[in-house]
Amino acid sequence: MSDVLRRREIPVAIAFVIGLLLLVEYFVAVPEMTAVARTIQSWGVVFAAMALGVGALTLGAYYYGHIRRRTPGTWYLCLWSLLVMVLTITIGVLGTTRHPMYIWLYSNIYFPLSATTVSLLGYFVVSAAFRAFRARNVESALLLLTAIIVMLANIPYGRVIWSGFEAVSAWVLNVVNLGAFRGIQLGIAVGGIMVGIRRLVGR
Amino acid sequence: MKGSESGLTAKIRSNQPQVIYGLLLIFIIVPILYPIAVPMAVTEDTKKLYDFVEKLRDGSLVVVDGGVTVGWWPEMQPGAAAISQHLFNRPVRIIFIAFIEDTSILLHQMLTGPLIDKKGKKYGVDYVELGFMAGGEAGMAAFARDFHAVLKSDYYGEPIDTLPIMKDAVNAKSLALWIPLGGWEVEWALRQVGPHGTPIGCVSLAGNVPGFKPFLATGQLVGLLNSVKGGAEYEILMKKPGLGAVYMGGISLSHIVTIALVILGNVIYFVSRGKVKKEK
Repeated sequence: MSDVLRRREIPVAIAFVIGLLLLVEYFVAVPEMTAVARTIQSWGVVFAAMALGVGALTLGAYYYGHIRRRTPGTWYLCLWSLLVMVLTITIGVLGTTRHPMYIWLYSNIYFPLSATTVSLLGYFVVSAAFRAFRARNVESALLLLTAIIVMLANIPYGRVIWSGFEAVSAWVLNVVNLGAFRGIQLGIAVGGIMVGIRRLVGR
Repeated sequence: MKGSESGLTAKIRSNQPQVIYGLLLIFIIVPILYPIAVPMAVTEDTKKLYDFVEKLRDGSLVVVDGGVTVGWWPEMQPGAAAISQHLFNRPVRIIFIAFIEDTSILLHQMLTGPLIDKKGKKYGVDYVELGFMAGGEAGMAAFARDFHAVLKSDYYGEPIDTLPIMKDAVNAKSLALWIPLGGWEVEWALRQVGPHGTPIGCVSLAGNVPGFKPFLATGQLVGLLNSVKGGAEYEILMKKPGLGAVYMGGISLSHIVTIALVILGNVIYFVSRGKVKKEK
C-alpha cells in the first residue's frame, strides 16, 4: 500500500486532471465546470493557508537541528529566532493579530528590521555604482548616459538643470524599454506555457 | 581592467564605502528633517490614474489590494496613502484587502493613522478592511471569482455577509477599479483580475515600473503611480503635499549624490588610465 502511495504517478495524475480542468474552464464557460473550478480554487486557498503552518514547522525543525547540534556561530541565533517565532505565533493565535502585543512586536521589531534590511540595498547599490559603473567601451558609456538621464528625469532637480531630461527619459522608457520588455514578457509567457505543459504531464 | 587603474583608484576603492554611506545618510536624512520645496511635474501615468478615479461613478466599488512585504512599505506608503485619500474624498466605496500576510496590518495602520482623513465614511457601509487572504495568486484568482465563497470574515472577525458594502460586492465584475500596491501583486492582478474586465491601476515599486510599461501601452493598466515619486505627484494633483513630497527631498538629493559619485568614479578611472598609458 505504501508503495502505491509513494508512486509519482498519483500526484502527477491529480495535478494533470485539476490543471487541465482549470485551464479549460478559463477559456470555455460551462456552468458545471465553473462550479467545480470554483471549489478547487477555494481548496487552493485552504492548502496555501495550511502551507504557512507547514512552513513554520519546517523552519522550527531547522532551527531545532542547529540548536541540538550546537552549530558554532549559529545555534544561539537559531535559539533566538525560534523563541521570537514561538512568541509571535502564540500571541497571534491566542490573541489574534489585532492583539496590542502582536501589533507592538510587528511595529517595533519586525517593521524596522525589515525596512532597514531593504534600505541597506540603496547604500550597496550606490557604493557598487561608484566602483564598477565605468564607461569602458561604447556600450557601457551608452548605459551610463541612459542611467544618468533617467535618474535625473526621476527627480525634480533634473528639470531645473534641463527641461529635456523628462522627454528623453520618457522616450527611453516608452519606446526602447517598452519594446525590450514586451519581447521579454512574450518570451516568459511562451516559456511559462511550456513549463506548465511539462508540469501537467509530469515531465 | 584593474591593472589599468593607478594606486589612487585602488586607495579610493578600499576606503570609499564608509565615506559613501556617510554622504548618503546625510543627504537622505537632512531633507527629510528639513523639507525643501522643489517644483515637480506630474507624469502622464499618474495623471491617467487620477483622472480615472475622478471619473468613477457615485457608489462605485474599488478594491485596494496591498501586496508588499513590510520592508518595502516605506517606498509604497506615499502612493498608497495618496490614492486611498483620493478614494475617501470621492463618493465611492472602498474594499481594502491584502494577499501578502504583512500588508493587512500595514493597511490597517494606514487607515487608522493620521495620514488618512476618512471624511466621515462609515465602516462596513462605505469602506471595509477584509484583512489577509492566503493563497497568493491562486487566492486572488479565487477571490476575484467570488468574494463570498473564499472569505468569511473581515479584519475584525465580523462575518462579511453582515456588512452592507459586501452585499453589492460579489466578484471582480462588481468593481469599477482594482488597485494593487506592489510589484508581483500587480502581475497577479493583471492575470487574475484583468480577464474579468475590471480596470486595473497600480501603485508600483520603482524597480518594477519598466516592466509594467507594456501594460500601460495596451490599456491593461489604466494608470500607474511610480513609487514615492508617483505618490508625490498624486499629492500635487490633490493639492495636498504629504509624505511623498517629504520623501522626494531625500530621494532627489541621494540621486544627485549617486550621479556625482558615478561621474567622479569615471573621472578617476580615465585620469588613472591616462597616467598608466603615459608611464608605458
